[in-house]
Amino acid sequence: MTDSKDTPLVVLVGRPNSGKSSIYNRLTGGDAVVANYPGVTVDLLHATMVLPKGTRVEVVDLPGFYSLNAVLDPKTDEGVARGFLEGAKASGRRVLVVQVVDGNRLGLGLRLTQDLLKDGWPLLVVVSQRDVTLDAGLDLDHAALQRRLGVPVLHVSAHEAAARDAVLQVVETQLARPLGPVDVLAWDPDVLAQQVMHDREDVDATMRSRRSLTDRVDSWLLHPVFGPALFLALMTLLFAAVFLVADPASAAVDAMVTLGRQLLSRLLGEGLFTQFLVDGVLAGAGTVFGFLPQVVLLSVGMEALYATGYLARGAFLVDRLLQLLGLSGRAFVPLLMGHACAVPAITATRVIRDPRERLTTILVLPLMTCSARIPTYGLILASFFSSQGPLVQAGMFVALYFSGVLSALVASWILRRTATRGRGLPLVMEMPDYRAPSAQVLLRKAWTASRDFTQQVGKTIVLASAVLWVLLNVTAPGEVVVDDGSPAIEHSVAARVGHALEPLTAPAGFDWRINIGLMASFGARELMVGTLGVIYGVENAGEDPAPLAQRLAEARHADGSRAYGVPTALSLLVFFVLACQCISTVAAIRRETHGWRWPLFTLAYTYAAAFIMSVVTFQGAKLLGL
Amino acid sequence: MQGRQDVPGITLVSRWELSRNPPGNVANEIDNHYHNRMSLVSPAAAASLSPHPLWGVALGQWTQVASLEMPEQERRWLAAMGVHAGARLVVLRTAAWGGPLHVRTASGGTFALGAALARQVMVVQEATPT
Repeated sequence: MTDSKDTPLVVLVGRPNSGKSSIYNRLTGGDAVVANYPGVTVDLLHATMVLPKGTRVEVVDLPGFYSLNAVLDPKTDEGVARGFLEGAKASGRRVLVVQVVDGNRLGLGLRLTQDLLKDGWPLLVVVSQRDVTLDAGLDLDHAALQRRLGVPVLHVSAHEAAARDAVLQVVETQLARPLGPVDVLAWDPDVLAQQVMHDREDVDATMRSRRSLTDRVDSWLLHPVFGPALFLALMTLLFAAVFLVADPASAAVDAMVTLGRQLLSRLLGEGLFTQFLVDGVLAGAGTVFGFLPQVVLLSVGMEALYATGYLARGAFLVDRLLQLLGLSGRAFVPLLMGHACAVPAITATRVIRDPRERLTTILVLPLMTCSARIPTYGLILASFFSSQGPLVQAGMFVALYFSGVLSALVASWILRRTATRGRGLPLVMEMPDYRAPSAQVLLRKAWTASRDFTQQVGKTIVLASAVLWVLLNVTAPGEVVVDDGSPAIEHSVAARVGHALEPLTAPAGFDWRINIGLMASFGARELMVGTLGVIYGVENAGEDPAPLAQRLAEARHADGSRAYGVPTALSLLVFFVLACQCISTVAAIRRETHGWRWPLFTLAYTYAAAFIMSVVTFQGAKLLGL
Repeated sequence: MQGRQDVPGITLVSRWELSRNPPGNVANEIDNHYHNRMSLVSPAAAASLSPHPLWGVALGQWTQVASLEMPEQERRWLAAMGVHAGARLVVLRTAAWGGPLHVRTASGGTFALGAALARQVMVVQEATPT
């Protein structure tokens, strides 16, 4: 609640997936996340606006909740919503609660209406999805519903522009009207819903058949055999499509960044500052923009699946598997989102009602194979396994992906028996009807995904890249630079730290150069390839890793022996699978767990596991003569 | 409580009648009702008509929730979602390997109910599918 005490508060409430965020967007033109999945609104979205007759109000979109009196944990969506309403009541501000009810599930929505009326909230009921209801041959007698409830009722479709004016006019009228007494016990939600929702006069067979569309689709998509197979195929297709489409897009972005670097060099001339701007700042920005197409495409793909209602079915299909590991189907979507980026996925865990399950999901999310790991995987596979042929490389790539999933599941199994042990809540999840995703919603998602990635992750990467450039280019105190042909970087501050760590990391097969890369990628994994490029004097390694791959494969120690082999490559891959190398993820965990305990725990357990498993892998591979 | 005679010895109570009673009373009413009548039917019929877990109910068979055998907080949460004593349910399908049930309520909601929870939802079978 940010506005002054005199500004009335209009609070949008409703069951999860009731169409509330669509109404919010229609009213405010805002960018709330809109999705056909229970519990998508995970933040309090608010906007200030002026009503038709000039009243200034603050509009707040609360997370979806089922009841004011059934909150199990204050940190869940329902807890957040209830806390906000209690705060609003205590603040003394004029409040109007606008409850959005899905017209296709009227009886369920009216249960919450009854709760809100019992608690004495001034209420406006907005029955949404009018277009869908009419298409199914049904219509709402909203006048009858209004008479029965004793509060104003509107029947609208968020797709229609007229909905905005209709809602705002009634909001303004209601804010000026004192609250009258309502009889909340005189009606039953289910019975009332049946009384006021009736067939249209022109209802025909086509309209009636639309009512069972979801059932017919579900008979295939939730089939015990075809369902999981279709689900796996769809997920594979989504990820394959993302990478197929993202590759050329990333190449185009890279080309533009390279052009910018050349232009900057030409404008500013050669010099240390130009190098800093070009190789430090702009190179970091290039890394960010190079990843943008993947992140945006995956986010839009996921949004399309949300909007259709299919992801709830995915949760249904995998619940049993996740139960074995102490999670439920509700953890499925955040875990899947973690394949794009852990930061939004951690925020999305707010849909998980069980606090222990939610914490477990947060703690294992950094293990999911996010897109930031891909350049390093690609570089190492190209450096040390190119002779094995593309099939082996592809197989290893898939294995690395599943290693992330597997390690997350194993970690979850262990955590649920140790750090987050305790009785879990069973799965109860509403299954929404299937709907066609709106192009507007998908475009908005593309925009918010790119904005969030640039703001939340991009700043860290650019800053870390700039700092790293300084550490790699400033000579360490006491270091005497001799022009013996060795790269200047060997005398830098970063090199000294890398050398100092060698006794610790040598059992895992890492030398000072890899140590520098690991230090750099502590901030963001994406920096590994660029850093190794700087160390090996390969320009634009982020854009074209082939020369760097060759340099890595041919790298030698001072005594002429080969610096890295397959054991080091495997060890490094294992390290990247397990370590939480992302400052933004750590920050997101801190925000969601309200303290430093769990982010530090995450860093500690992932780095410990990564180091131990790297040592085991390196030593094991050496023993096997690889 | 008034009701209609659908099968010998059993009076099915309409949802409208159920809705006029607070949920706690409904559960007690159903319990008393069935206990009083059980002696009038055969053991086989009594077994199918006495409250039993939702887990294991045949697909497509409409049932009525008799009670929710779980802690109060969870009971309230489930009731708020639409699964409460007196609610009519039908199991549409079950997920593979003992996964959740896909359930529809008479009020139009469809839910995934975890297997553990489905064992705590006690239902009575309706005489005829609706």
